[in-house]
Amino acid sequence: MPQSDLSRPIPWTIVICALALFGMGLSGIARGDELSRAGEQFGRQIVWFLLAAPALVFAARLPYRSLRHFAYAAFGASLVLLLVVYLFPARWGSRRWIPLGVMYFQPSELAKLTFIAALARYLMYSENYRRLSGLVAPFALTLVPLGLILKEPDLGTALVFLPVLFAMLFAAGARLKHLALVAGLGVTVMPVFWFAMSAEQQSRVTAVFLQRDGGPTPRGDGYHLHQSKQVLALGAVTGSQWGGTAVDDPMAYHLPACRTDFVLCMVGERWGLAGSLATLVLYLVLFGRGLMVAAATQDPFGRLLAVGIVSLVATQSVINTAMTVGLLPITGITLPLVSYGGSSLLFTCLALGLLISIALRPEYEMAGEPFRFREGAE
Amino acid sequence: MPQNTVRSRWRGRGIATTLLLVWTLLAGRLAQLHWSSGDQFERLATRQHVFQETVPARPGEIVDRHGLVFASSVTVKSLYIAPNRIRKGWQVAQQLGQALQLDPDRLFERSAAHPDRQFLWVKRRLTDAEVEQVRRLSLPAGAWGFRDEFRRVYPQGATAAQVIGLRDIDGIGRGGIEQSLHARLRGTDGKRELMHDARGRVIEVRESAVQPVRHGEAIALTLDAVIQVHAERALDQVMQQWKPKSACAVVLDPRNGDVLAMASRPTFDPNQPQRVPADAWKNRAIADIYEPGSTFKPFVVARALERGCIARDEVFDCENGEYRMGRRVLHDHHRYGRLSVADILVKSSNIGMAKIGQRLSNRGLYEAALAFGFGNPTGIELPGELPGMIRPLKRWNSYSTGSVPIGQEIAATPLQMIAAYAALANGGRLIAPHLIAVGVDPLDTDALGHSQRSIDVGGAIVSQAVSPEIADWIRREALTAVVSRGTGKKAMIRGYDVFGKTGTAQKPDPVTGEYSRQLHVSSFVCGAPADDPRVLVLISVDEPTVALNGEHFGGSVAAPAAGELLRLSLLRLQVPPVNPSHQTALLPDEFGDELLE
Repeated sequence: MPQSDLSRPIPWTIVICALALFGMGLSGIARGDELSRAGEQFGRQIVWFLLAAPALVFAARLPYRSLRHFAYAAFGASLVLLLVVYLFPARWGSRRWIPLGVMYFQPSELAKLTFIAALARYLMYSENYRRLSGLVAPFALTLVPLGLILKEPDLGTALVFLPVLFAMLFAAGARLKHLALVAGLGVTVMPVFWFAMSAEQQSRVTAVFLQRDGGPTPRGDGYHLHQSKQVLALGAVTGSQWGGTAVDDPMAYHLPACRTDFVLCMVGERWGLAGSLATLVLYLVLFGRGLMVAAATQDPFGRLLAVGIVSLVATQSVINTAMTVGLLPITGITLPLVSYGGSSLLFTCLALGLLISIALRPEYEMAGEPFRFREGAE
Repeated sequence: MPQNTVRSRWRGRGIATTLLLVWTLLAGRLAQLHWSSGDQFERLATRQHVFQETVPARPGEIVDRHGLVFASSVTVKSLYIAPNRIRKGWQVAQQLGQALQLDPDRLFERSAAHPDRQFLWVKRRLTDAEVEQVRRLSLPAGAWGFRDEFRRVYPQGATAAQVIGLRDIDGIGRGGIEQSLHARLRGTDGKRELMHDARGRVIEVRESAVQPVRHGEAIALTLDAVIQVHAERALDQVMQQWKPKSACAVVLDPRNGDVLAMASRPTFDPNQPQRVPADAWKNRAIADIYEPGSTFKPFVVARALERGCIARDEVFDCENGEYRMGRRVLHDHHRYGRLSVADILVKSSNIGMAKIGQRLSNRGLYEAALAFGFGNPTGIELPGELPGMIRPLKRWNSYSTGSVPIGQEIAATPLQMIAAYAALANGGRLIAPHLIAVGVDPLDTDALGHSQRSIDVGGAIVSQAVSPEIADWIRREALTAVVSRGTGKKAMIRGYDVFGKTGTAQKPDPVTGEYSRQLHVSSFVCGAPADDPRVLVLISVDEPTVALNGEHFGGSVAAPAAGELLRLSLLRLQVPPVNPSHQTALLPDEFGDELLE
């Protein structure tokens, strides 16, 4: 059994992109600290980094294949944790956290990872996903944590699961028409979702359609989006770092959650268009390199895991960016690596560490039940 | 298994393409936001950092004729916050709550209720210590500020309270000069623009050319603070001795209508507006009307002489104290036989007056009242002056012929009464009494000095009420004798010829509607020197408690206090005694010590 650890070079592109995105995030957080005159999150984010970086190294050194054996168990455990949150009092109107003394643990972050591992484990051998009925089990695997997280409520995190599922099914080789059918069904039941949404969620959705660029500051749900776009506009092309602050009025820069969910605005305000686009490009390079890792991996579990990790990070960044620029309703979701926040940073680093681990061990491992690809697949 | 790799790669490319497409869309939208809509957003944002601020006008001072301050304004700071510039509202509320002893919860609620307001009062009129505390808090710059406000202070306290009035916390004048001259005292607030920098600090202040601040005018009153204080003390003494419902005193310069003092009881301290008793607001000199009684008699006599209905040397039969007029029987307090015109006033004979009234007839009596200003407000610069009451002539009847000459059936304010006496004291000219000294710079205290300087404001002469000879005759022959040997003896002052007239008006009993034997308005008007009157004093006492002292007559209740006030006013005005030895022998014993000081 050729089990040659570190037989491949370390994918430095991933490491460098991650560091660069984190650095971008730090500069944005610093600007946010400055604009909201509360300078504490920059320092805390550095502390979080000191915890997250070893996690990445640890995950990279982990022989990822061992995860196969307890992928289901880990998934089950995170489902239990998702139930445990309901034992604790709500913070800011939702039950997402388990208090751990010095910090709050967010099980949904863990669930995202164990979900990917369990799904990869399921899709690794099975040929069932080639049949429509075989898609039931993966969907069930998805809808249970999704439902639990939706109930917290945490719409943003819940939204991540479906694109990841589709990406992994797609990568595993599910038939496109099956996926299209399921997607079509999803679109058909959208009105049902609309009526199931709370009034607040509904008004956030309508705010996207009612938005106008510029003009007087709206009240209510339109306000947040208006401020988000205004701060980007005030950054203009050059950004305040080189061009100076555009206007004197601090109210023009007032933006709630400017260091967490809306950190991209701070990056864009500070570094201008160049900073915003550079962030997007860094992500793109990161994802491209991640997909290359998937492609280069012969082990189906590793490949699916890699695709899952890339699609997870990609989905989060797409949703976050889209809501920042007013293309999607505002939901609470972080920009991976860039936003302030310990759990998010820690679990993203764990995921990227796994990705590196996969890159380091690309060989196919002989197992009792070999991976078979069905003939006639496209 | 090489085929697996091939297939996977194809699908990986599909994912990559999807990502690339989404990314292009996001990048395009970001570029659009950074680029094209920047101008619109910026214009909006720039407009918000220029603030317009009100520059409050300083209310003018109120001073007496010599520049002594009755009402002034001191600058105090009031704290406001700009809720739209505060991020940590709860923290700010807690800090301020601690520094200013406010409830932080309430403050936070108020602030949170108006998150987009630029201005919210936190506390008005802070003490210096509180200002210092707030400065030390280091609140977020640009989110708070002090605004200068003015607090009204009344250094003389309750002195002349009803004349001055007061300004409430919102700067609205209530009562007295503060109300009637509010517009002049207040001035006009100005505007200025404040430019803030990015940190909210003020970097530039532009006074508005369109609306500059115009501070309130200072007002000089004709009051003499010293005489005013004497008047207040005189009333305090009356209140203590007679326990009346209310009382008032007016001191007037008969030559020009200057009101030198005007006091009322009960009274209040304008520095404590929240503790003003409801009945203390009323300025009794202008807002209380009563049937004057005997004090009205001289005007009837003057009018009868003027019209030639009677002659100065005529003698009337006073019927030994009982006289039948139609169905009515009139009484005098004492039985008099034949009395001269002058003696009718000196003895205050109701029967004699009724006979003169018969000569004048109702029309003549009506004209007498109007000629001396009754029935019309004097026009003094105070709010709430009543015009008194004279019924239309057609509603007078035969009863009136006997009632009006003795001061019944008509009603007047104390100020109307003293203004009418001023006409008898200044050669028959009816002059509108007034409180505002015009043509004087109230702030130029050097020019005013404390010398006896006449302020020539020329009170508006309303009319010639009676010819000078008749006015002088009434004053010298009749009214001087009232004091020297009649009902007003207790107002005598050593060295001066004092003239005066007592009045004891019965009040209608609120229960029976008939004239009451218990309820009276006792009044006394006097002046000196009789040859060239410089001061007139009126004291009117409403419902003196008879049981306390046994007597309720104007000569007993009001005359001693009025005489004393007159003496002190003459001293203050440095009016030389005319006849140092005169009248000494006639001084009643009970006043001897006091007046000989």
